[in-house]
Amino acid sequence: MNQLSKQKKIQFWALTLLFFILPVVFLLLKSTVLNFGFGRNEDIEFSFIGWETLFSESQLIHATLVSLGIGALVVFLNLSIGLLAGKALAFYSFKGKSVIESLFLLPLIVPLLAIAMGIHVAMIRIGLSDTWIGVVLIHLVPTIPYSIKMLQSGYASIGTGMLQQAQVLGTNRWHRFFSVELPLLMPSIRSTVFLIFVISLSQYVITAIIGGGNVVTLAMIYFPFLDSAGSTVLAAFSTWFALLPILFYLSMELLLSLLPYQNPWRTRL
Amino acid sequence: MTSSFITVEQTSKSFHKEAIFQNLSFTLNKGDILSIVGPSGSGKTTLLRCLAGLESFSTGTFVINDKDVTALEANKRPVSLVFQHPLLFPHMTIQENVAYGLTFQGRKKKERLRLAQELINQVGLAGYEKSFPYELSGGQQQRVSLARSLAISPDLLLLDEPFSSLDVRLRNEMRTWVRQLLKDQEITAIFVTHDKEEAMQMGDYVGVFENGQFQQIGEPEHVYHSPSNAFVADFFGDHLIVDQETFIPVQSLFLSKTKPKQVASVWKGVMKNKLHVHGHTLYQIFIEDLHQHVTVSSSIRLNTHERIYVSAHPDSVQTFINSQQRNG
Repeated sequence: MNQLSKQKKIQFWALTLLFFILPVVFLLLKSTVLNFGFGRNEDIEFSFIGWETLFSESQLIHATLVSLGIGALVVFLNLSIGLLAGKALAFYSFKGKSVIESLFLLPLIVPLLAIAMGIHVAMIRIGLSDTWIGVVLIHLVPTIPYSIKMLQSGYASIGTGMLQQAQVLGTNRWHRFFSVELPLLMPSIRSTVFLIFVISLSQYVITAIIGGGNVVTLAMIYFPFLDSAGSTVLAAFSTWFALLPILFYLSMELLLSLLPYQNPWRTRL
Repeated sequence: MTSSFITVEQTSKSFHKEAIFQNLSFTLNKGDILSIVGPSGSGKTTLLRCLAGLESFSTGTFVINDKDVTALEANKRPVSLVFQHPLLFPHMTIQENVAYGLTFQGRKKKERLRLAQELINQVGLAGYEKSFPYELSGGQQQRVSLARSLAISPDLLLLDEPFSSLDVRLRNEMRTWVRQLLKDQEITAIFVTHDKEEAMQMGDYVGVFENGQFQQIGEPEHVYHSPSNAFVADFFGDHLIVDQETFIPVQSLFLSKTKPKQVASVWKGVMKNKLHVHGHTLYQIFIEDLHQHVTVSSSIRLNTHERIYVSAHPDSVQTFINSQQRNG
């Protein structure tokens, strides 16, 4: 290894440690140490009281499962819509394409609250307000534009040639999708899954409006904690909150490894 | 007509009312290689894509081995296409790449891998089975791409300028090698290129393509020596085109510093460039009156920008085949 790449490696790990690993370690420490802080002469006191308080919250497990379920469904719908729309935008040219592309981005430009208020009225009429399906649908608003964009660029980087090559080799549409498209889209799919799940998980206001208090997600019980609970409890809750997307990501990764032609230790894309 | 292995009859293709090619017909016997050569934008790649099924013909029929495949989709046609770029699947090993198309031929995995291995050996890449495409050089990648297309035993193999991204030396090696491979396996192939040398080297037949039409199809030697019109003579031959009806083969031209007597066809020219090929000195001469460049071999010594006479014996003036037919 030459000097330059060694230096870069050190820089990389230093930055990773500073910005990504230390905050998590700090959060973990904070959740288990009672008298955390600078300039204190007392002995450090370890305690699981924060975690105990957190788990004594009766709705925690239920809310976690609801959040996971809603998040998974939102991710699934995002991938389905994003893959189709992204492919169309990447490969086809048609009249009004740029108009449609900007329409797809509109949910990010119009304030989410305004959209949610408007949709709420419609949802009351068709009986979707106060239901988890309604919450899933409203979570699509701030997420769909991202997944379309990310998967569109994913498809664009594969290019039509690769897919046509698979086609002339005699494979049908589904086999092409699973053997070439999905494996090559993995980097885009990974980012989409992670981002969409985190966005869905942290929605508070629109979940409250559409869910009407009936649909209790993790965010719904997290925010009230901000006022009442001590910092140790809050740190424990934050750790719990952060664990969810990581667990979801890992299980998604496991699912993706079932795709054909996976050589996890050798593939370089 | 149907006795031929490949029959393309009266096919046309247009995009938004603009014709790319029209009323195109040709036939090929099993094991024949046809080179289609033409300038960029002449529509030859579109023709290839139509034959592969990636585009549909606007009109006409395409028959392979007595079976009409015109309406079949690309993945159902017994046709394989090697693209300009290798387009290997980056997430698969070389072996998986080559075996990819066999998945849909109802063969067992063991047999698929055996067949792939056989082809990998044939293209001289034994030992690379477990490598990934990025570990191979451009030429090796293109060989894998060819093996992958051959694996599905297509009735017709299409090659779209497959060597254009390789360097000159490798390109030459690949031409000879690929032609031998196709001949050994008796594969019927259509080879598209814009390089006339490549077309001559690769094809049993050469089709000169321009304006959505075959200007001439025939054996390379015949097309070279007896062009059917001025375009073919200019694009495929090295002849001096006198007018729209007649030309002089380049080997009948000679250069002299003084104006030759008793010769009818004499033109003034300027030496533009000097080349040394296979032990001969070739001069690129620009003839102002005909507004043409011609490359002539000569033993006289010339300097750049030197004025020179290009002459030919009247007997050597020939008439284009099309003009002969029209007049005869």
